[in-house]
Parts: sequence; structure tokens; C-alpha cells
Amino acid sequence: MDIEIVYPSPAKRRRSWWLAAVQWSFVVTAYLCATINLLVGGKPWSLVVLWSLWFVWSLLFSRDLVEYNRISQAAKLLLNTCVLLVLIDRCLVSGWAEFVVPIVCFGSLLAIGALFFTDLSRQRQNMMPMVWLIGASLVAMLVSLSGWPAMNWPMIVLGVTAFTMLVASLIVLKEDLVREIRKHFHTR
Amino acid sequence: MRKGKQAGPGWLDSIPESDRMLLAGFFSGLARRVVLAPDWAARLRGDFERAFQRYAAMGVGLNEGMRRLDPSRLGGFYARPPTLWYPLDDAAKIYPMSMKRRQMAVFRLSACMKEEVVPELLQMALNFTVKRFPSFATTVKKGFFWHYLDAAKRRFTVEPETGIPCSPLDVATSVSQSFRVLYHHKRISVEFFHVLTDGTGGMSFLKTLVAEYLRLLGVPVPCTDGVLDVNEAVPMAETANDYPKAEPTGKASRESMNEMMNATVGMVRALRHVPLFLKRLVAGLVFGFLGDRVFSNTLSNLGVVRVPAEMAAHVEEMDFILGPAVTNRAACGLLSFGNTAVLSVAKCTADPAFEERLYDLLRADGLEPRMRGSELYGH
Repeated sequence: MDIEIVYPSPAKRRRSWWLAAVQWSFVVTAYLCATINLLVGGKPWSLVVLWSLWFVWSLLFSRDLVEYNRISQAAKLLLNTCVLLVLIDRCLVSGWAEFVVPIVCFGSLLAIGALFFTDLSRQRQNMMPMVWLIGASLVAMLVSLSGWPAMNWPMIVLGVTAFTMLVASLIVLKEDLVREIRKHFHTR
Repeated sequence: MRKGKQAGPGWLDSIPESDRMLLAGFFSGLARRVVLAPDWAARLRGDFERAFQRYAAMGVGLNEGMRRLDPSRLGGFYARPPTLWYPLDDAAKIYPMSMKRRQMAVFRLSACMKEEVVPELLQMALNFTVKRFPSFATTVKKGFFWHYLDAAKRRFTVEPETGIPCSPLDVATSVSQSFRVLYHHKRISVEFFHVLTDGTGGMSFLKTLVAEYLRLLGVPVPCTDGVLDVNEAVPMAETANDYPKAEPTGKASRESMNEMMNATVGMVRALRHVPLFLKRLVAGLVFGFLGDRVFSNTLSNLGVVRVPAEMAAHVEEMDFILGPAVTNRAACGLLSFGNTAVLSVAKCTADPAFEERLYDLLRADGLEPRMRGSELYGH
């Protein structure tokens, strides 16, 4: 059975051994830390390690297959950071996260707003991660009126920043915002 | 195809003053029809310049070149804001949920021409053709409940074929192409991410692309036998979810196909208010557990492909390749064009036992199959 070759020879595939090595080192570290923490007892510090490993892996080594853009990556970074801060607060040293997390959030929200509005023509279709963050920030501030999380000045600044960005988005994006929301929540 | 580069700097200076004036008018007409990001607009203009240069080399006059490349054929496609979006077909909803970095449902349709492909004109053919298929000029996006296709405002690219057939597409960024158009010597191939279309829609795209390419070469092809008119408005029905209305063919398979289609439609309806991240989690677990082990091989038959006689005179052969899954032994695609049936076998294993047995069976039936293929990749 003779086969005539009619397809081009592809470039030699580079096997990403280093990626596999990183993956395995992460898995081994995760198991080791969890096991040591369980055996030794004490504070659940391994949760912080596990989340940190996931944080680094998902941001640096496992690129999103869909919607990989500057807004989505900034939102992902912020979300992962907030979870990490809350975990450190709950598992290791308590009492500061309710103050620090809103500061990180409003700083990031401003950075994301800058990334979005300074490149509006390209980022217009990537607005949803920012919209989610604005919504979550407003909800967090409203919920904090009930006493948890604490209503403090970072939380007020976060709420005001989110509200300002919402108004700016409504003014600048108008029907595009409505269209994006309709697309995002379609059930067809 | 060179990316983003305009034709040589001396090109416009080397032509007579009167022609330069004509071209200046031509390109200002083009500029009025293109509202893209500056780099995309420059690439599109570069495509026109390279096509003119190619025409000059082929001995096609400037006026004839301008007639063939008339920017009014672009319509408003490159000027409109990207407001269109399309929910995925019921059958396509699983593909973005189950895809992995190296595993993506991709299929390829090819037309082997009788002459070497002219890349500059193929690029222009794509520039004109893609506006007739707005649902292909899209990128996959994540919604809260389902993925969807969102308009990608860009110039779409033709590439020389260098990689493995049906290799995964990069659909991550906001203006990624969900299909690729490739050329290799006499072969024009289009590879589609399965979320865009099925084999029939893909074949319609390939036929229209080849017809447009031939028109740019000066061979008019009528819009019959599945070749679409790139200048006509797109009927709404073309982008509707037709899966629930599809009618399976073939008596033996009708019952099981109906059963499978009803199950798919029912599942999609039942899950439509479940958030996507939960569906992806479950789909990932189920697909990771079962994968494609629940079935053995795949055979997809596109049947007889008919094209207008004017096109058939320039096409040697057509074929259809189904991207292989990881576990499955082989993915087979079959179509007939002219008096030739082409059966393609794509697989991720090196053992040739399946192809050899198939070859023996065909020979035992008195056929004389011609075998063509690729080197063993990764060996």
C-alpha cells in the first residue's frame, strides 16, 4: 500500500515538557501540603497554598480557551486575589480583610475601567467582566449596610467608584451595554 | 500570506500618472467602505494592492482589475458596527463546553484546483465571500447560560498550509477566527470549528469561496448548485437553529437518529436555565470519564457534491476530513465529486491496520483505490 504524500510536513512539534513538569510539581506540592497540614494539625494554611497554586496555574500556565482578553484577565486576577486575601484572613491572621479587600477592589475597578475606556473600540465587546465587577461591588456595598461585611470608608469608596463607572458605562455605551447584557444572559 | 504588509513602496510610483489617479479614486472608494481598527484596515488595503500587483504580473489590465476588485462588492460588511450575534445550534452547544487545548471539533473541506492557487486572489476571494456568511465572521463567547457567536470585526486571513490537518483553532481572543482558509499548491482548504456550521454549510462556504476565486481569475461562475451570490442579502432563516427541525435520512437510521435528536433538544431545553459554569463542570466530568469511548469509529458522509459546470472545469477533486478524537481509532469522511469518491481517514494512532484492511476490502471489491495522505506526525 503506497501512499503519495500530499500534505506538507509540519514543523516538529515542540513537546512542552517544562509545562508537564510545572503541572506535576504543582500537583505534588498540593498533595504534600494538604497531607502535612492534616497530619501536623494547626491552622489550615494548606488552603492558602492550594489556592495560591491554583491562582498561579490559572493565570500563568492555563490560558483561557474562550474570552482571553485584557478585561477578562484583569477581572480574573482581581477575583483570585480577593479569594486569596479572604483565605489568608480566615486561615492565618484575622481582622484586616474587610478593610483591605474593598481597597484592592476599588483600585482594580479603576484599573479595569482605564483598560476598558482607553481602548473602547476594541474592548467594547469585552465589557461583561467589568459589568459583573461593577454589579458585584454595588451588591457588596448594599449588603454591607446590614453590618457584614463591615461598612467602612474603603467600602464606601468601592460603592461610589462602581456607581460612577456604571453611570459612565451607561452614558458611553448606551444600547451596546443593553445588547451585551442580552447576549450574555440569553437562554436560546 | 504576508500579514499587515502593504505592497512594495515603489509600486504606485512605477505606474503611469493616469493609472495612479484611477487607483487613488479606487482606494478612496475602498476607504469609505472600511471602518476597521487601523491595522486591520491597512491589511485589507494591502490585500487590494497585492491583488493589483498580481493582476499586473498576469497581464490583466488595470480597468479589468478594478472591475473584478470593485470595492462596492464589499457592501457595508467592513463598515458596520459588530452588533450581530448568534446563539449556538442545539447540536453545537456541546463543542465549546467539551473542548480542550488540544482537542477541538474541527473539520476540513478542500477543493483541489487544476492550477496552482494564487494566494493574493484567494485572500481577496475570502474578503468578498465572508460577508455572505456573517455567522462565520464570528468568535465564540461565554454567556451566563450558553456560549454564543459574537461578530468579529476584522479582516479574515488566508494562510499557507503548514500544520496538521484539523488542528485546534485559537478562538480565545475577541476577534479570533473560528475557521481557517488554507492553501497548499493546488489545494484550497477551509477548516471549521464545528460550532459554526455542519458539513453542508461548510461546503456551501467552500463552493462560494472557490466560485469567487475563479471570478477574480476571470472565470464567471453562476450562482447555482450551492454556490451563493455574495452580493445578496442574507436570509434570516440561514442563521436560525434548525437542529430541532432536522429530518434524518435513511430508513434504518431514522428511528435512532430521531431518538438522539429528541434527546439532545430535550436536554438543551432542560438545561437552559442552568449557569454555564455548572454545565461546563458536568460536561468536563462526563466527557473526561466517558470521552469518545462510548462509540468506536465515526463515518460522516457528505454524499455527492455538485457544482456548476463552469466551476467543475477548474476543480480536480474535493475532499472532507473529520478531525479525529483522542481515543477513537479513526474518524472517516466521505464525499463524491465528479466520478471520484474520496474517503478520508484521520486518526491519532500510528498503527496502519485499519487503513490496510480497508484497502484490502476495497480491492477485493474490484476497486483500484489511490492512496494519498500525510507523513506520520509526531514520529
